[in-house]
Amino acid sequence: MGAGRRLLATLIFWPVAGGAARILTLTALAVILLYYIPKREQAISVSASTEEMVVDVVSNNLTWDLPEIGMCYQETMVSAAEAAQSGGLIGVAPSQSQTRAIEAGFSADPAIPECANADVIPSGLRFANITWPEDYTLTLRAFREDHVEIYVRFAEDAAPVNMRHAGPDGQERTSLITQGTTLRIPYMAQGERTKLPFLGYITIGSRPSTASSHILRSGRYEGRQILRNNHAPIVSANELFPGDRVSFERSPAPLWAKVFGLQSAQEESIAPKARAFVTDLDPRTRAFDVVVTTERFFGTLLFTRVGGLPTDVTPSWTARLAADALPVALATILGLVATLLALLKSYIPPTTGAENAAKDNSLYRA
Amino acid sequence: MLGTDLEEVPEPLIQAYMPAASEDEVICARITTRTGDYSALVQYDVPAGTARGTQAILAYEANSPLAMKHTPETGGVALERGPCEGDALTDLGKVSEFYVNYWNQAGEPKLDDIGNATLVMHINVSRADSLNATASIAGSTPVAVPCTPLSDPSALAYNFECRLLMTPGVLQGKFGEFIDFQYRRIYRGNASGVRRAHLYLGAN
Repeated sequence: MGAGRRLLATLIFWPVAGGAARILTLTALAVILLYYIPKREQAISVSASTEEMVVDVVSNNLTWDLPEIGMCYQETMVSAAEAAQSGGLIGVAPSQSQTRAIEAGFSADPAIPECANADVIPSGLRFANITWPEDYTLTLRAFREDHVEIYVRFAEDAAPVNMRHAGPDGQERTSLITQGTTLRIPYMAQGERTKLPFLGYITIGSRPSTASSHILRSGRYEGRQILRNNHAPIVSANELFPGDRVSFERSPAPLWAKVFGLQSAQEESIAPKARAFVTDLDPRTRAFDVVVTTERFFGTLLFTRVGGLPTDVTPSWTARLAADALPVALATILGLVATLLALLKSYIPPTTGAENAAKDNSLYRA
Repeated sequence: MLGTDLEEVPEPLIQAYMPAASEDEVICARITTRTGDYSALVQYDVPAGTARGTQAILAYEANSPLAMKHTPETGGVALERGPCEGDALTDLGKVSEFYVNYWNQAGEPKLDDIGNATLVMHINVSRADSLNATASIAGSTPVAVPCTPLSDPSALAYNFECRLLMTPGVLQGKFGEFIDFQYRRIYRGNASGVRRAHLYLGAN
Protein backbone atom coordinates (compact mmCIF):
# COMPACT_ATOMS: atom_id res chain seq x y z
CA MET A 1 0.00 0.00 0.00
CA GLY A 2 2.78 2.37 1.00
CA ALA A 3 4.73 1.80 -2.22
CA GLY A 4 1.75 2.56 -4.42
CA ARG A 5 0.92 5.77 -2.63
CA ARG A 6 4.55 6.83 -2.73
CA LEU A 7 4.67 6.26 -6.51
CA LEU A 8 1.51 8.32 -6.98
CA ALA A 9 2.89 11.10 -4.82
CA THR A 10 6.14 11.05 -6.80
CA LEU A 11 4.30 11.31 -10.10
CA ILE A 12 2.24 14.24 -8.88
CA PHE A 13 4.94 16.11 -7.05
CA TRP A 14 7.92 15.25 -9.25
CA PRO A 15 7.50 18.15 -11.64
CA VAL A 16 7.12 20.74 -8.86
CA ALA A 17 8.98 19.22 -5.99
CA GLY A 18 12.17 18.70 -7.91
CA GLY A 19 14.98 21.09 -8.46
CA ALA A 20 15.29 24.02 -10.82
CA ALA A 21 16.89 21.82 -13.47
CA ARG A 22 13.82 19.64 -13.54
CA ILE A 23 11.55 22.64 -13.92
CA LEU A 24 13.71 24.01 -16.68
CA THR A 25 13.69 20.68 -18.52
CA LEU A 26 9.93 20.45 -18.29
CA THR A 27 9.53 24.03 -19.44
CA ALA A 28 11.74 23.34 -22.43
CA LEU A 29 9.67 20.27 -23.27
CA ALA A 30 6.45 22.28 -23.01
CA VAL A 31 7.92 25.02 -25.20
CA ILE A 32 8.89 22.47 -27.83
CA LEU A 33 5.45 20.88 -27.79
CA LEU A 34 3.54 24.14 -27.94
CA TYR A 35 5.91 25.94 -30.21
CA TYR A 36 6.89 23.41 -32.83
CA ILE A 37 4.12 20.84 -33.02
CA PRO A 38 1.24 23.09 -34.20
CA LYS A 39 1.13 23.53 -37.96
CA ARG A 40 2.48 26.83 -39.23
CA GLU A 41 1.78 28.89 -42.27
CA GLN A 42 4.45 28.63 -44.88
CA ALA A 43 5.52 30.59 -47.90
CA ILE A 44 6.86 28.44 -50.71
CA SER A 45 9.21 29.63 -53.42
CA VAL A 46 9.86 27.78 -56.64
CA SER A 47 12.54 28.62 -59.13
CA ALA A 48 12.24 26.67 -62.34
CA SER A 49 13.07 26.52 -65.97
CA THR A 50 9.92 25.37 -67.71
CA GLU A 51 8.09 25.31 -71.02
CA GLU A 52 4.62 25.66 -69.60
CA MET A 53 2.92 27.57 -66.82
CA VAL A 54 -0.71 28.45 -66.10
CA VAL A 55 -1.79 31.53 -64.19
CA ASP A 56 -5.31 32.32 -63.03
CA VAL A 57 -5.07 36.04 -62.53
CA VAL A 58 -6.49 37.27 -59.25
CA SER A 59 -5.31 40.85 -59.29
CA ASN A 60 -7.26 43.64 -60.86
CA ASN A 61 -4.30 45.78 -61.78
CA LEU A 62 -1.64 43.51 -63.14
CA THR A 63 -0.13 45.72 -65.80
CA TRP A 64 2.44 44.86 -68.42
CA ASP A 65 4.38 47.44 -70.37
CA LEU A 66 6.08 45.71 -73.23
CA PRO A 67 8.26 47.17 -75.96
CA GLU A 68 6.90 44.63 -78.42
CA ILE A 69 4.17 42.03 -78.64
CA GLY A 70 2.73 39.81 -81.33
CA MET A 71 -0.96 39.06 -81.33
CA CYS A 72 -3.17 36.85 -83.42
CA TYR A 73 -6.76 35.75 -83.29
CA GLN A 74 -8.41 32.42 -83.72
CA GLU A 75 -10.73 32.88 -86.63
CA THR A 76 -12.72 29.83 -85.62
CA MET A 77 -13.65 31.32 -82.30
CA VAL A 78 -15.69 33.95 -84.10
CA SER A 79 -17.31 31.91 -86.80
CA ALA A 80 -19.26 29.78 -84.32
CA ALA A 81 -22.25 32.09 -84.68
CA GLU A 82 -24.78 29.44 -85.61
CA ALA A 83 -28.35 29.23 -84.45
CA ALA A 84 -28.75 27.99 -80.94
CA GLN A 85 -31.38 25.42 -81.82
CA SER A 86 -31.90 23.48 -84.98
CA GLY A 87 -33.77 20.29 -85.71
CA GLY A 88 -34.29 19.66 -82.00
CA LEU A 89 -30.59 19.86 -81.18
CA ILE A 90 -29.70 22.63 -78.79
CA GLY A 91 -26.20 23.96 -79.10
CA VAL A 92 -24.63 27.18 -77.95
CA ALA A 93 -25.28 30.64 -79.14
CA PRO A 94 -22.14 32.66 -79.73
CA SER A 95 -20.68 33.57 -76.40
CA GLN A 96 -20.70 37.08 -75.02
CA SER A 97 -17.04 37.44 -75.78
CA GLN A 98 -17.54 36.27 -79.33
CA THR A 99 -20.36 38.75 -79.74
CA ARG A 100 -18.12 41.44 -78.29
CA ALA A 101 -15.42 40.48 -80.75
CA ILE A 102 -17.84 40.60 -83.63
CA GLU A 103 -19.11 43.98 -82.52
CA ALA A 104 -15.57 45.27 -82.17
CA GLY A 105 -15.11 44.22 -85.77
CA PHE A 106 -11.54 43.09 -85.36
CA SER A 107 -11.67 40.60 -88.18
CA ALA A 108 -11.59 43.59 -90.50
CA ASP A 109 -8.58 44.96 -88.61
CA PRO A 110 -5.52 44.51 -90.83
CA ALA A 111 -3.16 45.07 -87.89
CA ILE A 112 -4.26 41.87 -86.17
CA PRO A 113 -3.65 38.83 -88.32
CA GLU A 114 -4.92 35.32 -87.87
CA CYS A 115 -2.52 32.81 -86.41
CA ALA A 116 -1.37 31.62 -89.78
CA ASN A 117 2.28 30.81 -89.24
CA ALA A 118 2.56 28.97 -85.97
CA ASP A 119 6.19 29.85 -85.27
CA VAL A 120 6.61 33.44 -86.32
CA ILE A 121 5.77 36.46 -84.21
CA PRO A 122 3.00 38.10 -86.21
CA SER A 123 3.47 41.79 -86.99
CA GLY A 124 5.07 43.16 -83.87
CA LEU A 125 2.94 45.72 -82.10
CA ARG A 126 5.01 48.35 -80.31
CA PHE A 127 4.70 49.73 -76.80
CA ALA A 128 1.94 47.43 -75.72
CA ASN A 129 0.20 48.04 -72.42
CA ILE A 130 -2.14 45.39 -71.01
CA THR A 131 -3.88 45.31 -67.66
CA TRP A 132 -5.22 41.88 -66.73
CA PRO A 133 -8.26 41.73 -64.50
CA GLU A 134 -9.58 38.78 -62.52
CA ASP A 135 -10.99 35.63 -64.12
CA TYR A 136 -8.39 35.54 -66.90
CA THR A 137 -6.42 32.35 -67.37
CA LEU A 138 -3.08 32.79 -69.07
CA THR A 139 -1.32 29.69 -70.35
CA LEU A 140 2.33 30.34 -71.12
CA ARG A 141 3.95 27.92 -73.50
CA ALA A 142 7.32 27.97 -75.13
CA PHE A 143 7.56 26.65 -78.67
CA ARG A 144 10.59 28.59 -79.86
CA GLU A 145 13.83 29.86 -78.40
CA ASP A 146 13.02 33.51 -78.99
CA HIS A 147 9.50 34.01 -77.69
CA VAL A 148 6.89 32.77 -75.29
CA GLU A 149 3.32 32.22 -76.38
CA ILE A 150 0.40 33.15 -74.14
CA TYR A 151 -2.97 31.60 -74.74
CA VAL A 152 -5.77 33.64 -73.18
CA ARG A 153 -9.04 32.25 -71.82
CA PHE A 154 -11.46 34.01 -69.54
CA ALA A 155 -14.75 33.52 -67.75
CA GLU A 156 -17.79 34.69 -69.67
CA ASP A 157 -18.54 37.46 -67.20
CA ALA A 158 -14.98 38.73 -67.00
CA ALA A 159 -14.27 42.36 -67.76
CA PRO A 160 -13.07 42.98 -71.34
CA VAL A 161 -9.40 43.77 -71.79
CA ASN A 162 -8.23 46.34 -74.29
CA MET A 163 -4.57 46.35 -75.10
CA ARG A 164 -3.13 49.76 -75.89
CA HIS A 165 -0.31 49.73 -78.41
CA ALA A 166 1.20 51.63 -81.28
CA GLY A 167 -0.10 50.53 -84.65
CA PRO A 168 2.02 50.10 -87.77
CA ASP A 169 1.46 53.75 -88.59
CA GLY A 170 2.77 54.79 -85.16
CA GLN A 171 -0.63 55.95 -83.96
CA GLU A 172 -1.81 54.69 -80.58
CA ARG A 173 -4.75 52.35 -80.77
CA THR A 174 -6.45 49.63 -78.75
CA SER A 175 -7.13 46.00 -79.55
CA LEU A 176 -9.64 43.82 -77.75
CA ILE A 177 -8.33 40.60 -76.27
CA THR A 178 -10.86 37.95 -77.22
CA GLN A 179 -11.42 34.41 -76.03
CA GLY A 180 -8.62 32.26 -77.40
CA THR A 181 -6.33 35.12 -78.35
CA THR A 182 -2.74 34.09 -78.71
CA LEU A 183 -0.04 36.56 -77.70
CA ARG A 184 3.58 36.04 -78.67
CA ILE A 185 6.05 37.92 -76.53
CA PRO A 186 9.72 38.02 -77.54
CA TYR A 187 12.23 37.21 -74.79
CA MET A 188 14.42 40.08 -75.96
CA ALA A 189 12.89 43.17 -77.49
CA GLN A 190 14.77 46.30 -78.52
CA GLY A 191 17.81 45.14 -76.60
CA GLU A 192 15.89 44.68 -73.38
CA ARG A 193 15.12 41.53 -71.54
CA THR A 194 11.39 40.94 -71.12
CA LYS A 195 10.23 40.41 -67.55
CA LEU A 196 6.58 39.50 -67.09
CA PRO A 197 5.05 39.84 -63.62
CA PHE A 198 2.12 37.68 -62.50
CA LEU A 199 -0.17 37.54 -59.51
CA GLY A 200 -2.60 34.68 -59.22
CA TYR A 201 -3.01 30.96 -58.75
CA ILE A 202 -0.05 29.39 -60.46
CA THR A 203 0.74 25.94 -61.82
CA ILE A 204 4.19 25.29 -63.24
CA GLY A 205 4.89 22.53 -65.72
CA SER A 206 2.32 20.49 -67.54
CA ARG A 207 0.57 17.30 -66.77
CA PRO A 208 2.83 14.37 -67.50
CA SER A 209 1.08 12.93 -70.53
CA THR A 210 1.77 12.24 -74.13
CA ALA A 211 -0.69 14.92 -75.14
CA SER A 212 1.69 17.77 -74.39
CA SER A 213 5.25 18.36 -75.45
CA HIS A 214 5.89 20.97 -72.79
CA ILE A 215 7.76 20.04 -69.69
CA LEU A 216 9.35 21.55 -66.67
CA ARG A 217 13.07 21.17 -67.30
CA SER A 218 14.56 21.72 -63.90
CA GLY A 219 13.95 23.63 -60.74
CA ARG A 220 13.93 23.67 -57.00
CA TYR A 221 11.55 24.65 -54.26
CA GLU A 222 11.89 25.80 -50.71
CA GLY A 223 9.28 26.23 -48.03
CA ARG A 224 9.78 28.76 -45.28
CA GLN A 225 7.77 28.81 -42.11
CA ILE A 226 7.50 31.88 -40.00
CA LEU A 227 8.46 30.91 -36.48
CA ARG A 228 9.12 34.28 -34.89
CA ASN A 229 9.38 37.87 -36.03
CA ASN A 230 11.73 38.07 -38.99
CA HIS A 231 12.78 34.52 -38.54
CA ALA A 232 11.59 32.21 -41.32
CA PRO A 233 13.84 29.19 -41.62
CA ILE A 234 13.66 26.83 -44.58
CA VAL A 235 11.73 23.78 -43.42
CA SER A 236 11.53 21.93 -46.70
CA ALA A 237 13.61 22.20 -49.83
CA ASN A 238 14.39 19.95 -52.72
CA GLU A 239 15.07 19.65 -56.41
CA LEU A 240 12.36 19.27 -59.02
CA PHE A 241 12.68 16.61 -61.68
CA PRO A 242 12.06 17.14 -65.39
CA GLY A 243 8.38 16.64 -66.15
CA ASP A 244 7.11 17.58 -62.70
CA ARG A 245 3.96 19.62 -62.46
CA VAL A 246 3.95 21.87 -59.45
CA SER A 247 1.01 23.61 -57.83
CA PHE A 248 0.09 24.84 -54.39
CA GLU A 249 -2.82 23.76 -52.28
CA ARG A 250 -4.36 25.06 -49.10
CA SER A 251 -5.29 22.74 -46.29
CA PRO A 252 -7.80 23.67 -43.58
CA ALA A 253 -6.33 26.00 -40.99
CA PRO A 254 -5.67 24.28 -37.66
CA LEU A 255 -7.98 25.02 -34.78
CA TRP A 256 -5.46 27.13 -32.86
CA ALA A 257 -5.14 29.53 -35.79
CA LYS A 258 -8.89 29.90 -36.02
CA VAL A 259 -9.20 30.47 -32.27
CA PHE A 260 -6.50 33.14 -32.19
CA GLY A 261 -7.47 34.63 -35.55
CA LEU A 262 -3.95 34.11 -36.84
CA GLN A 263 -4.71 33.55 -40.48
CA SER A 264 -3.03 35.93 -42.84
CA ALA A 265 -5.47 35.22 -45.67
CA GLN A 266 -9.04 34.19 -46.18
CA GLU A 267 -9.62 30.62 -47.19
CA GLU A 268 -11.97 31.22 -50.04
CA SER A 269 -9.76 29.50 -52.60
CA ILE A 270 -8.17 26.09 -52.86
CA ALA A 271 -4.83 27.56 -53.89
CA PRO A 272 -2.88 30.37 -52.28
CA LYS A 273 -2.11 33.50 -54.25
CA ALA A 274 1.38 33.59 -55.65
CA ARG A 275 3.57 36.20 -57.24
CA ALA A 276 5.82 35.29 -60.09
CA PHE A 277 7.99 36.76 -62.73
CA VAL A 278 8.97 35.18 -65.97
CA THR A 279 12.08 35.88 -67.97
CA ASP A 280 14.44 33.98 -70.22
CA LEU A 281 17.93 33.41 -68.91
CA ASP A 282 19.16 30.82 -71.38
CA PRO A 283 18.56 31.82 -75.00
CA ARG A 284 19.71 28.39 -76.23
CA THR A 285 16.66 26.58 -74.88
CA ARG A 286 13.05 27.35 -75.57
CA ALA A 287 12.20 27.13 -71.87
CA PHE A 288 11.69 30.27 -69.85
CA ASP A 289 12.68 30.88 -66.26
CA VAL A 290 10.19 31.58 -63.54
CA VAL A 291 10.40 32.42 -59.86
CA VAL A 292 7.19 31.99 -57.88
CA THR A 293 6.59 32.85 -54.25
CA THR A 294 3.29 32.15 -52.57
CA GLU A 295 1.67 34.16 -49.85
CA ARG A 296 1.83 32.69 -46.34
CA PHE A 297 -0.71 29.91 -46.17
CA PHE A 298 -1.63 26.72 -44.38
CA GLY A 299 -1.01 24.10 -46.97
CA THR A 300 1.53 22.51 -49.14
CA LEU A 301 3.31 22.28 -52.45
CA LEU A 302 1.75 19.58 -54.57
CA PHE A 303 3.66 17.92 -57.33
CA THR A 304 2.62 15.40 -59.92
CA ARG A 305 5.47 13.35 -61.24
CA VAL A 306 5.46 10.88 -64.10
CA GLY A 307 4.48 7.48 -62.82
CA GLY A 308 3.52 8.70 -59.39
CA LEU A 309 0.46 9.85 -57.57
CA PRO A 310 0.23 13.53 -56.65
CA THR A 311 2.54 14.06 -53.70
CA ASP A 312 2.55 16.83 -51.17
CA VAL A 313 5.48 18.04 -49.16
CA THR A 314 4.19 19.00 -45.76
CA PRO A 315 6.99 19.77 -43.33
CA SER A 316 6.70 17.85 -40.07
CA TRP A 317 7.18 19.38 -36.64
CA THR A 318 10.60 17.78 -36.47
CA ALA A 319 11.57 19.75 -39.59
CA ARG A 320 10.46 22.96 -37.88
CA LEU A 321 12.44 21.99 -34.82
CA ALA A 322 15.54 21.07 -36.78
CA ALA A 323 15.42 24.23 -38.87
CA ASP A 324 15.36 26.50 -35.83
CA ALA A 325 18.47 27.40 -33.85
CA LEU A 326 16.47 28.09 -30.71
CA PRO A 327 16.20 24.51 -29.42
CA VAL A 328 19.93 24.02 -29.90
CA ALA A 329 20.58 27.23 -27.99
CA LEU A 330 18.15 26.18 -25.28
CA ALA A 331 19.76 22.77 -24.99
CA THR A 332 23.19 24.34 -24.65
CA ILE A 333 22.03 26.79 -22.00
CA LEU A 334 20.15 24.11 -20.11
CA GLY A 335 23.18 21.86 -20.24
CA LEU A 336 25.36 24.63 -18.84
CA VAL A 337 22.87 25.39 -16.09
CA ALA A 338 22.62 21.72 -15.19
CA THR A 339 26.38 21.37 -15.08
CA LEU A 340 26.65 24.49 -12.96
CA LEU A 341 24.08 23.16 -10.52
CA ALA A 342 25.78 19.82 -10.34
CA LEU A 343 29.08 21.53 -9.60
CA LEU A 344 27.42 23.73 -7.00
CA LYS A 345 25.88 20.70 -5.35
CA SER A 346 29.20 18.90 -5.16
CA TYR A 347 30.70 21.84 -3.21
CA ILE A 348 28.06 21.62 -0.50
CA PRO A 349 29.28 19.40 2.32
CA PRO A 350 27.16 16.30 2.89
CA THR A 351 24.68 16.55 5.71
CA THR A 352 23.09 13.91 7.85
CA GLY A 353 19.88 15.43 9.26
CA ALA A 354 16.66 15.60 7.30
CA GLU A 355 16.21 19.25 8.28
CA ASN A 356 19.59 20.15 6.88
CA ALA A 357 18.84 18.32 3.68
CA ALA A 358 15.68 20.34 3.22
CA LYS A 359 17.65 23.53 3.86
CA ASP A 360 20.26 22.50 1.31
CA ASN A 361 17.58 21.86 -1.27
CA SER A 362 16.33 25.39 -0.89
CA LEU A 363 19.77 26.66 -1.87
CA TYR A 364 19.32 25.83 -5.47
CA ARG A 365 15.62 25.93 -5.76
CA ALA A 366 15.55 29.59 -6.67
CA MET B 1 -26.64 9.60 -72.98
CA LEU B 2 -27.45 10.75 -69.49
CA GLY B 3 -30.04 8.37 -68.12
CA THR B 4 -32.00 8.47 -64.91
CA ASP B 5 -30.07 7.21 -61.93
CA LEU B 6 -30.58 3.71 -60.64
CA GLU B 7 -30.55 3.03 -56.94
CA GLU B 8 -28.44 -0.03 -57.28
CA VAL B 9 -26.39 -1.40 -60.14
CA PRO B 10 -25.76 -5.09 -59.40
CA GLU B 11 -23.76 -5.73 -62.58
CA PRO B 12 -22.34 -3.53 -65.36
CA LEU B 13 -25.18 -2.31 -67.52
CA ILE B 14 -25.00 -0.92 -71.03
CA GLN B 15 -28.27 -0.20 -72.80
CA ALA B 16 -27.97 0.81 -76.39
CA TYR B 17 -29.88 1.43 -79.57
CA MET B 18 -28.88 -1.23 -82.03
CA PRO B 19 -27.92 -0.82 -85.67
CA ALA B 20 -30.05 -2.43 -88.33
CA ALA B 21 -28.35 -5.67 -89.29
CA SER B 22 -29.20 -7.56 -92.44
CA GLU B 23 -26.47 -10.07 -91.72
CA ASP B 24 -24.47 -10.89 -88.60
CA GLU B 25 -22.43 -7.89 -87.50
CA VAL B 26 -20.29 -6.91 -84.56
CA ILE B 27 -20.13 -3.76 -82.47
CA CYS B 28 -17.35 -2.79 -80.15
CA ALA B 29 -17.78 -1.22 -76.72
CA ARG B 30 -14.83 0.80 -75.50
CA ILE B 31 -15.48 1.47 -71.85
CA THR B 32 -13.35 3.88 -69.91
CA THR B 33 -13.51 6.21 -66.96
CA ARG B 34 -12.23 9.75 -66.86
CA THR B 35 -9.37 8.91 -64.52
CA GLY B 36 -8.56 5.71 -66.40
CA ASP B 37 -9.01 3.67 -63.21
CA TYR B 38 -11.27 1.28 -65.09
CA SER B 39 -11.42 0.35 -68.73
CA ALA B 40 -12.71 -2.55 -70.76
CA LEU B 41 -13.06 -3.59 -74.36
CA VAL B 42 -16.00 -5.84 -75.24
CA GLN B 43 -17.16 -7.02 -78.63
CA TYR B 44 -20.80 -7.95 -79.22
CA ASP B 45 -22.55 -9.78 -82.01
CA VAL B 46 -25.57 -8.19 -83.60
CA PRO B 47 -27.70 -10.97 -85.02
CA ALA B 48 -29.12 -10.68 -88.53
CA GLY B 49 -32.62 -9.29 -88.67
CA THR B 50 -32.12 -6.74 -85.86
CA ALA B 51 -34.19 -3.63 -86.51
CA ARG B 52 -32.49 -0.26 -86.26
CA GLY B 53 -33.09 1.47 -82.96
CA THR B 54 -33.97 -1.68 -81.02
CA GLN B 55 -32.95 -1.11 -77.44
CA ALA B 56 -30.82 -3.93 -76.13
CA ILE B 57 -29.02 -4.64 -72.90
CA LEU B 58 -25.38 -5.41 -73.49
CA ALA B 59 -24.19 -7.53 -70.61
CA TYR B 60 -20.63 -8.39 -69.78
CA GLU B 61 -18.83 -9.76 -66.79
CA ALA B 62 -16.56 -7.48 -64.86
CA ASN B 63 -14.39 -8.46 -61.98
CA SER B 64 -14.00 -4.94 -60.64
CA PRO B 65 -16.57 -3.12 -58.49
CA LEU B 66 -15.59 0.06 -60.41
CA ALA B 67 -17.43 -1.27 -63.45
CA MET B 68 -20.72 -0.62 -61.67
CA LYS B 69 -19.77 2.62 -59.95
CA HIS B 70 -19.36 4.92 -62.94
CA THR B 71 -21.97 6.70 -65.04
CA PRO B 72 -21.66 8.99 -68.08
CA GLU B 73 -20.78 11.77 -65.63
CA THR B 74 -17.49 10.08 -64.78
CA GLY B 75 -16.83 7.86 -67.76
CA GLY B 76 -18.46 6.44 -70.79
CA VAL B 77 -18.96 3.75 -73.38
CA ALA B 78 -18.08 4.42 -77.00
CA LEU B 79 -20.13 1.88 -78.91
CA GLU B 80 -18.83 1.70 -82.43
CA ARG B 81 -19.90 -0.37 -85.38
CA GLY B 82 -17.26 -2.87 -86.38
CA PRO B 83 -14.79 -5.10 -84.58
CA CYS B 84 -12.57 -3.88 -81.72
CA GLU B 85 -9.54 -2.78 -83.69
CA GLY B 86 -7.51 0.35 -83.22
CA ASP B 87 -8.88 3.49 -81.64
CA ALA B 88 -12.26 5.03 -82.14
CA LEU B 89 -12.42 7.98 -84.50
CA THR B 90 -8.80 8.36 -85.43
CA ASP B 91 -8.68 8.75 -89.18
CA LEU B 92 -9.36 11.98 -90.95
CA GLY B 93 -11.92 11.51 -93.68
CA LYS B 94 -13.38 8.40 -92.08
CA VAL B 95 -16.91 8.63 -90.75
CA SER B 96 -17.30 6.43 -87.73
CA GLU B 97 -20.66 5.11 -86.63
CA PHE B 98 -21.50 5.23 -82.95
CA TYR B 99 -24.59 4.11 -81.08
CA VAL B 100 -26.00 6.23 -78.32
CA ASN B 101 -26.12 4.29 -75.09
CA TYR B 102 -26.85 4.42 -71.37
CA TRP B 103 -24.30 3.23 -68.87
CA ASN B 104 -25.14 2.00 -65.39
CA GLN B 105 -28.28 4.11 -65.49
CA ALA B 106 -31.87 3.43 -66.48
CA GLY B 107 -32.40 3.20 -70.23
CA GLU B 108 -34.35 6.41 -70.53
CA PRO B 109 -33.04 9.95 -70.73
CA LYS B 110 -32.70 12.12 -67.66
CA LEU B 111 -34.43 15.38 -68.53
CA ASP B 112 -33.21 18.70 -67.17
CA ASP B 113 -35.53 21.36 -65.69
CA ILE B 114 -36.75 22.48 -69.10
CA GLY B 115 -37.21 18.95 -70.33
CA ASN B 116 -34.14 18.47 -72.51
CA ALA B 117 -32.12 15.29 -72.76
CA THR B 118 -28.31 15.42 -72.64
CA LEU B 119 -25.88 13.56 -74.82
CA VAL B 120 -22.34 13.54 -73.41
CA MET B 121 -19.36 12.93 -75.66
CA HIS B 122 -15.93 12.23 -74.24
CA ILE B 123 -13.05 12.96 -76.56
CA ASN B 124 -9.34 12.50 -76.08
CA VAL B 125 -7.38 14.93 -78.22
CA SER B 126 -3.72 15.72 -78.03
CA ARG B 127 -2.43 19.21 -78.66
CA ALA B 128 -5.72 21.03 -78.47
CA ASP B 129 -6.56 24.29 -76.76
CA SER B 130 -10.21 23.98 -77.60
CA LEU B 131 -12.57 21.97 -79.75
CA ASN B 132 -14.83 23.53 -82.29
CA ALA B 133 -17.65 21.02 -82.53
CA THR B 134 -20.93 21.08 -84.41
CA ALA B 135 -23.90 18.76 -84.61
CA SER B 136 -26.81 18.46 -86.99
CA ILE B 137 -29.57 15.94 -87.50
CA ALA B 138 -31.22 14.92 -90.76
CA GLY B 139 -29.84 17.84 -92.69
CA SER B 140 -30.66 20.54 -90.15
CA THR B 141 -28.48 23.62 -89.73
CA PRO B 142 -25.49 22.64 -87.55
CA VAL B 143 -25.41 23.97 -84.00
CA ALA B 144 -22.23 24.60 -82.06
CA VAL B 145 -21.65 22.05 -79.30
CA PRO B 146 -19.98 23.34 -76.15
CA CYS B 147 -16.84 21.33 -75.36
CA THR B 148 -15.01 21.83 -72.10
CA PRO B 149 -11.35 20.96 -71.60
CA LEU B 150 -10.85 18.84 -68.48
CA SER B 151 -7.84 20.49 -66.91
CA ASP B 152 -8.02 18.36 -63.79
CA PRO B 153 -4.77 16.34 -63.68
CA SER B 154 -6.65 13.15 -62.88
CA ALA B 155 -8.47 13.29 -66.23
CA LEU B 156 -6.17 10.89 -68.02
CA ALA B 157 -8.35 8.78 -70.29
CA TYR B 158 -9.92 11.69 -72.14
CA ASN B 159 -9.52 15.45 -71.90
CA PHE B 160 -12.59 17.01 -73.48
CA GLU B 161 -16.24 16.68 -72.64
CA CYS B 162 -18.88 17.89 -75.10
CA ARG B 163 -22.53 18.15 -74.09
CA LEU B 164 -25.31 18.36 -76.60
CA LEU B 165 -28.81 19.07 -75.41
CA MET B 166 -31.81 17.90 -77.36
CA THR B 167 -35.53 18.13 -77.06
CA PRO B 168 -37.07 14.75 -76.17
CA GLY B 169 -38.95 15.00 -79.47
CA VAL B 170 -35.70 14.25 -81.25
CA LEU B 171 -35.51 10.85 -79.62
CA GLN B 172 -39.06 9.98 -80.57
CA GLY B 173 -39.47 11.84 -83.82
CA LYS B 174 -36.11 11.15 -85.42
CA PHE B 175 -36.19 7.41 -84.86
CA GLY B 176 -33.30 5.73 -86.56
CA GLU B 177 -31.73 9.02 -87.59
CA PHE B 178 -28.20 9.95 -86.70
CA ILE B 179 -26.57 13.06 -85.39
CA ASP B 180 -23.82 14.23 -87.67
CA PHE B 181 -21.11 15.25 -85.22
CA GLN B 182 -18.00 17.04 -86.44
CA TYR B 183 -15.12 18.63 -84.67
CA ARG B 184 -11.89 20.43 -85.34
CA ARG B 185 -9.24 20.81 -82.73
CA ILE B 186 -7.84 24.29 -82.30
CA TYR B 187 -4.25 24.61 -81.24
CA ARG B 188 -2.20 27.80 -81.20
CA GLY B 189 -4.84 29.49 -83.27
CA ASN B 190 -4.81 26.90 -86.01
CA ALA B 191 -7.64 24.51 -86.75
CA SER B 192 -6.98 20.91 -87.72
CA GLY B 193 -8.96 18.92 -90.27
CA VAL B 194 -12.52 17.87 -89.56
CA ARG B 195 -13.21 14.61 -87.79
CA ARG B 196 -16.63 13.19 -88.20
CA ALA B 197 -18.93 10.69 -86.58
CA HIS B 198 -22.51 9.61 -86.96
CA LEU B 199 -24.25 9.08 -83.66
CA TYR B 200 -27.29 6.86 -84.05
CA LEU B 201 -30.31 7.48 -81.91
CA GLY B 202 -33.21 5.28 -81.10
CA ALA B 203 -36.31 5.68 -79.04
CA ASN B 204 -37.95 4.03 -76.13
